[in-house]
Amino acid sequence: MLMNLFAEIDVSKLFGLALRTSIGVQAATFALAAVGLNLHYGYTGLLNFGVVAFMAAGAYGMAIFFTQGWLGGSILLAIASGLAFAVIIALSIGLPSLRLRADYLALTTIAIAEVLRISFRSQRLLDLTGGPFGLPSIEDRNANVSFADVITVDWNPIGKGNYGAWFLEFDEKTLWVMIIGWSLVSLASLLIWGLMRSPWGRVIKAIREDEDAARALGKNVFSYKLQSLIIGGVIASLAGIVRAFDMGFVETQQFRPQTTFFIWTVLILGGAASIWGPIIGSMTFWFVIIFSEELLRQMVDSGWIPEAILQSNDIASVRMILMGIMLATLMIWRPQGLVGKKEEAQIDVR
Amino acid sequence: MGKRLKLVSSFIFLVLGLLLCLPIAANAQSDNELTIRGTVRVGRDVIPDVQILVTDAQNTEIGTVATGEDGKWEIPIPGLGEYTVTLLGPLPTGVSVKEGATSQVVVNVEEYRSKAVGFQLTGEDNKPILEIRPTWERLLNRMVSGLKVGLLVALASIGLSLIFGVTGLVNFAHSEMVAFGAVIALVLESTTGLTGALFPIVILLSVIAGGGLGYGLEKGIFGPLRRRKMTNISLMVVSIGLAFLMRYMILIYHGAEPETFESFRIQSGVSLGPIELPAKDYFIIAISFTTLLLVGILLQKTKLGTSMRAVSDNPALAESSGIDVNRTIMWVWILGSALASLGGTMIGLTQVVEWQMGEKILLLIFAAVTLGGLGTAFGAMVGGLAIGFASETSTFWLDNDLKFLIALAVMIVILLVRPRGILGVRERLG
Amino acid sequence: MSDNKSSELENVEPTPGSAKLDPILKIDNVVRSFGGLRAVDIDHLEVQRGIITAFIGPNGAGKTTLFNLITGFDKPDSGQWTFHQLAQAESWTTDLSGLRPHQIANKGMVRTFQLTKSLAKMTVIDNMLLGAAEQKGESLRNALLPSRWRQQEKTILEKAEGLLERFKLSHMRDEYAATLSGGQRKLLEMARALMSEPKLILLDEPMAGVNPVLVESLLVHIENLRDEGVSVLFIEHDMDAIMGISDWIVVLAEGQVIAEGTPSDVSKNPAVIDAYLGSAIAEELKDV
Repeated sequence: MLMNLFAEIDVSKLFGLALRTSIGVQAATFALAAVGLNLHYGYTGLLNFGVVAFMAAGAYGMAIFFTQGWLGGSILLAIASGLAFAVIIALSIGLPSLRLRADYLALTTIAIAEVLRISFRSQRLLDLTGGPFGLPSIEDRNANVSFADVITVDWNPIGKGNYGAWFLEFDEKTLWVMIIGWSLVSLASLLIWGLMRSPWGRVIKAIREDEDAARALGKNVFSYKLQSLIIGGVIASLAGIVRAFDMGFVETQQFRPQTTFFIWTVLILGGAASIWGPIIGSMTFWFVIIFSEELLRQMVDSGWIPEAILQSNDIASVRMILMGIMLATLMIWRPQGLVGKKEEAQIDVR
Repeated sequence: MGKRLKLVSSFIFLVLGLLLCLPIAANAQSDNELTIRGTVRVGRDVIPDVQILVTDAQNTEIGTVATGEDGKWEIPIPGLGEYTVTLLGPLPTGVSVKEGATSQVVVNVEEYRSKAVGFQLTGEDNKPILEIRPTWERLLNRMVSGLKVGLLVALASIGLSLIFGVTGLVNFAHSEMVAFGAVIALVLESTTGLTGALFPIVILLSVIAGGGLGYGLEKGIFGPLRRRKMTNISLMVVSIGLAFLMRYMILIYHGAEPETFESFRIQSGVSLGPIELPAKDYFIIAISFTTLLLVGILLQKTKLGTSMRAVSDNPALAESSGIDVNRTIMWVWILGSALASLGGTMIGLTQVVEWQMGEKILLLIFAAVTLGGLGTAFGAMVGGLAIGFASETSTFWLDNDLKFLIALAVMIVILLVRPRGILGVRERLG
Repeated sequence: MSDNKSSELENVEPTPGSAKLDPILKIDNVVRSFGGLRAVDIDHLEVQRGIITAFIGPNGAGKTTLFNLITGFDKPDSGQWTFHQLAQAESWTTDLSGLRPHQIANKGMVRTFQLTKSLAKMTVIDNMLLGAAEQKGESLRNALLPSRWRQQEKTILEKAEGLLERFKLSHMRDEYAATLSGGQRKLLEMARALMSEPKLILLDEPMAGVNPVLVESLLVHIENLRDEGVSVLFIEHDMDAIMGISDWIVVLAEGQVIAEGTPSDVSKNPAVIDAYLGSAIAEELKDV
């Protein structure tokens, strides 16, 4: 009977789609955000449940500055503004709440991220942020005009066309953003690697384990945590910006708490406090998700799964259920993820 | 130095928040904005303070707005297509949807022009011309509505606070336990047909189901993991995973459409002096208030309640005094979950039952328990009442989509300035 | 007790709050209450430079609370205390009240903890390297440019290895601190505290939970510290150890200083024996 099942499954498509996503822009942006979160949580022990706030700061900061034409309408300055906005967010989160213990920090960070999202979504800010609809405006989007064009069209060195083969075929815009995305992932990972093997990194590791010990040795714990928050936050904001370029628009729906938890799952899956963890975690995560979704879709379409259990438009929800299951089971049975170290994996209250 | 920094940051937050609330422009909509609009009226009489909900073809909420003093409402939409406009109410006494007409209208926006939508309402034949209620009366009604929301948030929050108190776990899945209660009640109502006067049985059944869920979660998941010495932070992350699992299972098996209970569809208002609410709201307030009272008595006067409070205060001490800590924890889960179920059912009764209702109140509940003090049931009650009341009453002045902002801002400020909340005892600073 | 130390202390009054010839630490009117209880209530206390001072007292006397207060890990209700970094030099006095713990540590006053805080998930050598002060590489600006801190790191490494050698922990150099025994962790914490060359080191129960063989070597290490010029302040319960190496003893009970003096002064003090009344320690005191 299993053989019959195999006969009906398009294995090539199954692996093809999964592989395609795991090397694509989405995987890259999640890996980048996870690198940022890794510094916060994996290395410094900060329970940041507001990762999307940084992504939103970057993406919206860039989009607003560009759309409004501030700073001369230059895309590079707009990106810089997005990063600056992320620094402000880091300070707003950090200055008051870094002294809180772990679970309270978690709640505060979620709350701040939601405040940011709800504010952006407000109809009062329609002219600035596009309110519930985002930027650029609907008419621009219908006309296929977007801030992303500067990057994906004007500054794209790749000639127009499709590249690759089989399911791994990408158009020149996507390919360019992929290259940018993964390059940033590499640079960011290199940065973190360099930092963590320096004396600065040594202090950070000490802080994660026992703040008072670090204080007794003369280290200004608060200052280090803030630095970590800012650096990780800027990296996460880059992820938001790259994603905005890929999608061509920003809207508040992209920055809900569930995205934060996707990134957490990616990090835990790969292995917190390891340099390769975010990358391996993101690629594996997306592979598994798309593989499962496609498998289920094919099984539902070919009738192998009865309608009573699952229908084709339920498949999108499967992604969320998988994420939930992954997060829970990883925490219980393999908190160090795929490439993390077991000793590092204990989550202590900070 | 630290305190000053905290106060300064809190002040900055509040100022930023207030700036967002101040009317930036008298009219937030520009001329070529695509909108759906209308005027709610009976004959020539306009009706203010009626909530209108617009959702798109995928059942995603586009926006809600309340009719102004002139009965007018307008909501911007992202583009052409099909939209559903729902009249949520409340309608004043004697006014209801016309026989054969509906409170939910589907429109197809095909042109780049504002689309007008109307509802067919009737009033009693002999009724004199409807007087527009004075502002203070409308405010009073909004405040009573706030009280109702406060009671519901309190109901939903007690469990979260108690569970934290006895186990130290911040249970992110708590909001889904609220949604569970509402969904179960809906399913029960349609399968058993117990509507109208028999509806209280459905409520009771859903409460029992909720208790069962709590029992299951503690027995099957959190209890064993706690005994395996998993840290509370790890368990919190597990509860997050669980929350997503529950939420999307509800989506798959209940569906995306918001639904209301058959028993209590759109009702016309019932007056109690200057206060005018749908009949079901009085019912909801009464039940919620009574339940909270009973919970209070349970905690103060019964042996179980005393052990709950003792374990919450100091588990080691409680254990050495002979209290069965594990059994107490089990009862806390059962009680907390049952209350969450009740809260969910009541919320479904007064608004809608939908798969995202848990996600929507999650932060409200967190704000409530943070304000009142994590770990104390009375804190949750106080916090819930305050947060619910404040966020609901604020809609008198603020946009609907900003009402959560108030709750969140309060929560952040509390965490920064007095993390233990109003009634909390232990310091939470790291 | 070495000779010149005893001469320094000869003329000091063995009374609570007595002035010392050359105090390194002066504590004034420090009060800390929990609820209605006064955990610490000290009018005046001076700690002499360059000697080993022991803080003793029954459980709950406020010793660790006092340590926490003067090192910045807790905030008193009121009070002031000053650190005199250089002998007979008023300009080198720092008011420590209100300073944060890392600032106090950087002034040269380093403490250890009752429950050792050896960073278990870091190696022994990393623990040691952490302890060094004023590391350029610890600042973000320099961290990414190894050329800026390589040299200093080498110097610190040499110092660390020297200390590990001295404390007989060299063989555990690359092991995670988690694998060390209780006594070894105490040694590590002490060695680590020395990396910054503190002027005053505060040891909170350095002997607790350490096996008797190791206790001996710990005591020798503490005496060596004093001989090298480091002032030592330590809390202990082990009477033999205290009487054996202390130059001066401060006795606390119920938050207050009830006696001060040399070991022989204190052991004969009826107030001290009263405070320990009924305990095994009272018996030990009589035997001294």
